[in-house]
Amino acid sequence: MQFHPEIRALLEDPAGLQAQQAVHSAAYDAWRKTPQGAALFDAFAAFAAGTPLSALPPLAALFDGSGTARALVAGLAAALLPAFARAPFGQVPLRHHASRAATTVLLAREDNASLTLVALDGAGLALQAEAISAAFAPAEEWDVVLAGTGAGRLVERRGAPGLKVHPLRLEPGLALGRDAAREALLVDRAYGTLLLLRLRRTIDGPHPVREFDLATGAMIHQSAATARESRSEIAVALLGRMGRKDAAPVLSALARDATRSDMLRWQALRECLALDTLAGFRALAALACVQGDPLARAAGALRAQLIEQHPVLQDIEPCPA
Amino acid sequence: MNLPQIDIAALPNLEVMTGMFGSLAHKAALVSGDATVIVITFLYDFIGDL
Repeated sequence: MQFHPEIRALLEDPAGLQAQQAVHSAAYDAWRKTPQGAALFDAFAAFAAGTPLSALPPLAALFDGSGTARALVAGLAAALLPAFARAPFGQVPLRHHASRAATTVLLAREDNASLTLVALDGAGLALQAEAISAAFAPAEEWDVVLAGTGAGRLVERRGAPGLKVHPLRLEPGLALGRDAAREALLVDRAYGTLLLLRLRRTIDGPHPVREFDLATGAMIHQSAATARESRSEIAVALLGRMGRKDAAPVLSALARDATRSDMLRWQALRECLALDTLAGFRALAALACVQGDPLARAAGALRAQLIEQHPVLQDIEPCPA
Repeated sequence: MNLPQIDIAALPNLEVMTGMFGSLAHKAALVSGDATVIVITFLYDFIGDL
């Protein structure tokens, strides 16, 4: 394999590579400490902690379509780009992801909130099939177009059958604030590069992301809304496979925790029943009695099924709520 | 009380299953829609708290 002499020199001198990276980190840190950067990150921290966007002027101003967001990103670029001239083998110290159609840079992330720059490439978007579905997530989301133009759709889900689709022209200054559980934004085309700034705050709770078919309005898929739910589900399955009977009290409590997702709670209940029949059946019986719980009906049916198969279970009292 | 051992394979799943975080039926919606953020936070969220 051939290496450019400069790259070979850096491979043989890790300290030199670290020095290059330090140039980029210093440029980014300096920008964060500017009045503009500091005010933004203070406001973002408060937003992540639950403060309404309207109470945070430095952040809210980015999404009013006034050009503030463009000025912020121009300032960030002006702070970061000179570092490439000085240290071409370093990287901007921001998490990023690139595909043919979309490049995403994570400017800030804390708890359930994120602030990202999304650049959609028109040629890349044209290569992929047009979206035939829209996903609705328990989240609040704000988008503002910083540069470029494009065409998209705003898909509304208002509880009635079917979805309402509104064509949308995307152009600089367009700002959208949405309840992402009810409205989804699809970008179908970008003419050149379309640059968006996106603020998102996921709402903790039991609700999944639901994906609907645009043509029929039918739900075609649902997935966990947060990584935490899926991570917990993996842990629950693992405890079951390990035969960890001592985890039964934790699984029982998880099954009865209405703030967690139905899928996670049901898997916790199944694993609990398999690990510890008494603890699992007491949790099952308790769940079957909770009025309004989305799992009560399924729990009642399973309880009846198990009693039919094993009459001895009939005498087990539910665990206290 | 002598209780039976329950086989997990015999316990039903919910009628509507829920996929893992970040999963979608159609990839196109992931790239062009709201979920672009999920791509970038997916791995970090999964491994970040370990």
